[in-house]
Amino acid sequence: MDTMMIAAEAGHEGLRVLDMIFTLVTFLVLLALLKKFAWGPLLGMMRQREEYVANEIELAEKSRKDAETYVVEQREALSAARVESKEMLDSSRRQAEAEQARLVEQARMEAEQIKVEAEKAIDRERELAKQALQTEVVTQAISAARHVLQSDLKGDEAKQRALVTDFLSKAKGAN
Amino acid sequence: MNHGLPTYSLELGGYTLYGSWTNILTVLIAAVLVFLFAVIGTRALAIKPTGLQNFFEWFAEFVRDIISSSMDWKTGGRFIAFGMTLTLFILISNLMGLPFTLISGHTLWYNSPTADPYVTLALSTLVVTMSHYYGIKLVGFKHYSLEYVKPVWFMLPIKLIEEFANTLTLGLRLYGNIFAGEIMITIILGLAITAESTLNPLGAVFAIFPMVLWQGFSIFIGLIQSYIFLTLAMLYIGHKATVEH
Repeated sequence: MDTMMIAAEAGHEGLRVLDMIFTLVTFLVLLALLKKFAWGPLLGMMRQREEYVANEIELAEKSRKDAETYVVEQREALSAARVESKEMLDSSRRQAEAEQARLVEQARMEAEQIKVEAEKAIDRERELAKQALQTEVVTQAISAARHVLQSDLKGDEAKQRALVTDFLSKAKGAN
Repeated sequence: MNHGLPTYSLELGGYTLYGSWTNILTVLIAAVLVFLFAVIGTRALAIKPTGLQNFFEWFAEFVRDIISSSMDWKTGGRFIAFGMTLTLFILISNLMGLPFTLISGHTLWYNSPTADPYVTLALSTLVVTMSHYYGIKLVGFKHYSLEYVKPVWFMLPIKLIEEFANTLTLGLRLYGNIFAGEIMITIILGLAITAESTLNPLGAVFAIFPMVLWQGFSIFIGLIQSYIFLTLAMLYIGHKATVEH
């Protein structure tokens, strides 16, 4: 076994100090090389990622806050719009009601006017009719009178006069 | 099973220093593997992680959690690259010897680097040295020194011994676990090999089941030991680099 050999040969071989020195030097060179070519970049990348993640978290937080503000703003805008639309609806309803009332009034007035005109027309017609009737009556009376005169007027004058008066009064009464 | 290491020596100011080619080979292979794995894994980095990036990010967080359990992140942040490199280096070193070991004659050429106490003790010495360095740098020399005489002055020798004991236990725990694992593999492998170094078919059949079992267990041990090493390293550093309240 080699250690026993070492122990046995230690007398003429001595301590292998150069092995220790060589190991140390090799190790330190390896350490320096790895620090420069492996661990340095690796740890740098890990730090970079930490910063990146921290940055991302910050950004996410910020955008969350922005979104919250935005939601609040939107909510306010929405309620404002709702109020506005309600107002618009109310005013248009009022307007419609007023219009309706106006139309009804107008129709009523027109109807009234038509009624008045109709009444006037009726009156006029009646007047005309009355006149026509009167004319007719007079004509009839005259013709009747003519008839009576042709037949009876030759006799009793008093009787004839009474007859005509009666007729006239009757015609007036009928009127 | 009696393997030696191919050694070399260096004369330096009257002293002869020794080292082994096996160490140079295996430590370099481990370092290259760790480097390739980490660089390939972190090659295509993206905000949305894919594939290996996921694994390495999980790994970075895993190491960060372990550091955070020993010290606050303001102090511990600077150790994350160290912790990640240390853990990955030890883990790959622990697993390197599992697929195969190279022995030529009686010379060991390739195994787990962490199955060598010099490697593990080098790493534990580095950790303990760092704990002292950052202890003085971050809490000041006064607080750093006062820790040695708390809660009473005669704790000083025990505290001094503790520092060396920490270094030794940290290094030798790792070494012991990995080395023992490799010995077990060698023993199980011995079932399949005759005394004349030829294949023993019957023994090979018998060796398969314990081999699979032990390999699996060794992977587990390799993972656990790299985790323990990192945890204790950060505990030692955190203990010194943090002011006690």
